[in-house]
Amino acid sequence: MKISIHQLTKNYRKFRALDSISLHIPGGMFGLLGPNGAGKTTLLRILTTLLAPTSGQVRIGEFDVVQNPGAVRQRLGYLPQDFGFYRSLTAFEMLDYIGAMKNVPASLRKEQVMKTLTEVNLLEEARRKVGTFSGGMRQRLGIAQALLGNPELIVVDEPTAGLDPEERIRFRNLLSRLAQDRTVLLSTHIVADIEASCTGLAVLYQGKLVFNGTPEALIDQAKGAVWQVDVPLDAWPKLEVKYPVLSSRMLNRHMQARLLAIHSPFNGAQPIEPGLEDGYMAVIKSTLVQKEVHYG
Amino acid sequence: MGSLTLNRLWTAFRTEFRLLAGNWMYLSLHVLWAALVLMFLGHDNRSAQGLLETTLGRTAIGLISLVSLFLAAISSSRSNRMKFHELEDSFPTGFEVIFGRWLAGLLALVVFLVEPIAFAATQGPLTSLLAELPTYLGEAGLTFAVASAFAWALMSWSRPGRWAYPLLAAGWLGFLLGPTILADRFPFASLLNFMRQGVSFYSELWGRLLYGDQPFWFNLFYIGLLLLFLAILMISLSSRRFYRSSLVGSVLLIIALTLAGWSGMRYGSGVQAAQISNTFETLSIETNSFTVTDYQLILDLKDAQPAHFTAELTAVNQSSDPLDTLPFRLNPVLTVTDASLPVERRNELVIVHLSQPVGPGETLSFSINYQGMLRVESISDGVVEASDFIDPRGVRLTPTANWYPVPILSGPNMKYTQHDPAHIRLTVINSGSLPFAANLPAVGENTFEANSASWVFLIGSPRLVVEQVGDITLITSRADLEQARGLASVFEDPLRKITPFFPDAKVQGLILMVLGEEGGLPGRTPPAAGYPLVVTPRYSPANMSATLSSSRQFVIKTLLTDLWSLSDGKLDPEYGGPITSLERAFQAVVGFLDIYVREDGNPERMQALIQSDAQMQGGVDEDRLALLEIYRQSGQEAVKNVLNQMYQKPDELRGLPYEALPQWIRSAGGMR
Repeated sequence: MKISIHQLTKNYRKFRALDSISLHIPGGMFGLLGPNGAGKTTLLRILTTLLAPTSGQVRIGEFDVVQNPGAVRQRLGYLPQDFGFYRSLTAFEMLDYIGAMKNVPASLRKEQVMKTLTEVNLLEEARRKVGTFSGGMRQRLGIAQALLGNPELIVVDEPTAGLDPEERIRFRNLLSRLAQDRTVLLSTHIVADIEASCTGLAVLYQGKLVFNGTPEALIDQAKGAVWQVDVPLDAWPKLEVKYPVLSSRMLNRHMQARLLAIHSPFNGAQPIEPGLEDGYMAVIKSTLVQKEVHYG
Repeated sequence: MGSLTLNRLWTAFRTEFRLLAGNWMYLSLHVLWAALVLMFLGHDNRSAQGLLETTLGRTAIGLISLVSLFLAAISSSRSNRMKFHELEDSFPTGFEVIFGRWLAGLLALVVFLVEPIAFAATQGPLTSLLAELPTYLGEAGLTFAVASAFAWALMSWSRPGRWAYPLLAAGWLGFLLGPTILADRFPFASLLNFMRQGVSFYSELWGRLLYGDQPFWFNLFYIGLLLLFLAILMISLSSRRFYRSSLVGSVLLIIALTLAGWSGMRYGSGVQAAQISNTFETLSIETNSFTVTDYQLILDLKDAQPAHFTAELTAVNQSSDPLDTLPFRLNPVLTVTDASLPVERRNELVIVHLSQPVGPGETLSFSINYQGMLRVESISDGVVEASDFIDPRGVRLTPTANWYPVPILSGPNMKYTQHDPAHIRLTVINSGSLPFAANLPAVGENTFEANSASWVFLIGSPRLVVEQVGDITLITSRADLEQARGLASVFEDPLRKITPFFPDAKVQGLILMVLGEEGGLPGRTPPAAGYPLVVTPRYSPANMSATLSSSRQFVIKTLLTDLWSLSDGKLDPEYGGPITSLERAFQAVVGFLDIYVREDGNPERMQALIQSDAQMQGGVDEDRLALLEIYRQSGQEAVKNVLNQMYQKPDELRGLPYEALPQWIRSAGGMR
């Protein structure tokens, strides 16, 4: 299911949360990256019809989210960032209720609920009250409810927060599998989540779209700009201030670090192959520099 | 509405009801509520219908209304509290989910009626309970629906935080007290009394006939408000989730406002009409001195709207001058259609013009036919209530309605509740199956006749029961029959025992009206010849037990008042004025007859009882003791002599110092 976003703007009174975003998502698994406060959740809330845009147009498939929100909801599975359930219902009852709300026919509902519970590895907990679930179990139940009704579009907002590494991998794999025959929109600030599964991605920063393309294209943004350095501890503070540090570790009174720099920061710095996270940082930092130049 | 929508509605309803009713607080509230309802045990002796329409039923509606506000607020904010709202809003649902959840809340509230209804069922009778259930469930349900829809609309519209709860409680308290306080000055404020507190749209005999259409307009107003709150919910949801106004919601809003406005105005005009009917015009007429000695009254209900009356009167000129006009008072809504003598109608007056003056002591007979739709209303606690009416479903006519011509004898502005004693024969014809009763003895089907009757109280109701219990003619409602029978048995023994002391009363029986409807009747309800009359609300025999001194004395005093009057005795006015020795003498007779009844006239045991009372009260009742001494010495005849002197010398007694009364009694009884 295609998603077309054209000149989308959202203001909260005087604050502009989204600024003329235009984006086309052809389908498959698509990542939405950006730091906290970049506008990801606002964009998702508009896509999921929870929020009306200030201006611009958003179409999910053939449906406009403002003109026909009901049709969009009928095709949507959504997992918000912060959510809960009716604590006194069991997992099965909760999903059965949501299934009815999503117009899953009564004759198919039980089967579908059991299937989704199996997919998220909660079948054994089906009769347990949701109020007794751990954070991870609750998150998995959240995924299960998003899958109910076999939606054409699944929107997940920061889904791996609170999951342990094993659950996170399991969850990524599940999303990848789901994306084979539908659109999955994954919003996160954890680059690894996108790296592992997305075929396309966009980076939002301070309400603007600063990158739109493939993960490889994002990596290219940092090509030739990532350096590995090995410096004495006393020289480190100066370097840390001057260059964006991607990672660092202390080794025998020396600091070994990866830096972002257009040119070699000093003699002895080794150029290395960038990763997706490096590309993401390169995009964010270059946006920041451009802004500083612009305002300077 | 498609099957998917209905399915969502049903699922939302089912789940919400489970969430509410499965909560431990809900179950605890039921336990608490059941305990509260049980507190009514033994404190109220109304029928099941009476209980639900008045005390217990009103308390239940009031308290559950508070629960309604809180329960709806809790219900409507649950998704937010549980952080489920974003998920919920992403589902392809509409108003049906909110509606289903609201309905579930309403059902959870209606379940709270189980306790009061079960308690009322234990009071019986079953017919009374069954007659009331649809009305009570409907009205209580409407009240809870309005309260909960209001809370839903408030929470959905403004999404307040926890401060909403004290606000709702304050609002509830305001509506609980406000209308009742305001209704005295502004009767229209009773419309705001959505919890129906402090007022009863109910009578055991006539149900809601007393209140005319007012309950209908009241309920319709709240149906309008209910639709208004639902429309607000619908519009609010549509604007938030569909970014547009709801057409159905807007239409519903217009319908709701129209309905509430229209019915509110109709309710208000009912109040206004009752206020106007309470304003009596001042009569300006010279009064003559004549009395009516014979009334032949016929009420024809062939066409009850209007009802037709025929009155044949025999009047006597009591003055020393000839009279050429006879002024009567007759309710102004009654139109004179025909008369055997020329008649002039002027507001409340009917003036009969005589072509030949009637001389002093002479008698004159004439007839008047009149008709009208009689309904006299007043406002009590802001609520319109009819004291008199003629309706195919029931009749209530008291003397204050002036439904038959009564001579104007005293001051021109006085309202009369009785006239000089006359022979009265009253017949109700063409009444279908509607049974009738009156304060006069029945002499045939729907025919009542008595000598020396100074007023007529006519009642007709499908719920009316007339039953003969020994010498007592019991007149009551079907719902009160069992209790009234018990009450009749309380009166039976004293009546039989004390009647021999009053041979001049020529008692033929007692008319006992257990009605609970005493408005518009004269004080002390004077009896017609030979028939003492007791008009009383429903008391349970347990409450009127012979062991209760106050109840026992009430029975004796009630009987004695009429026997005294039938023996031509005079009494001081019931209220106001100092207590004279005449009143004390009367009280002494009450005390004496009380112990006489209790001890079956055994003088020794009566003496012991007086001594026992004296020990308990720290002194002897000398007046009563004097009567007992006479009785011990000379028996019943001597006491009758004392009573005779009391009837004949009221003025002497009034002027007598208290301390001289025992001696006066001993002297009147011929004590040696």
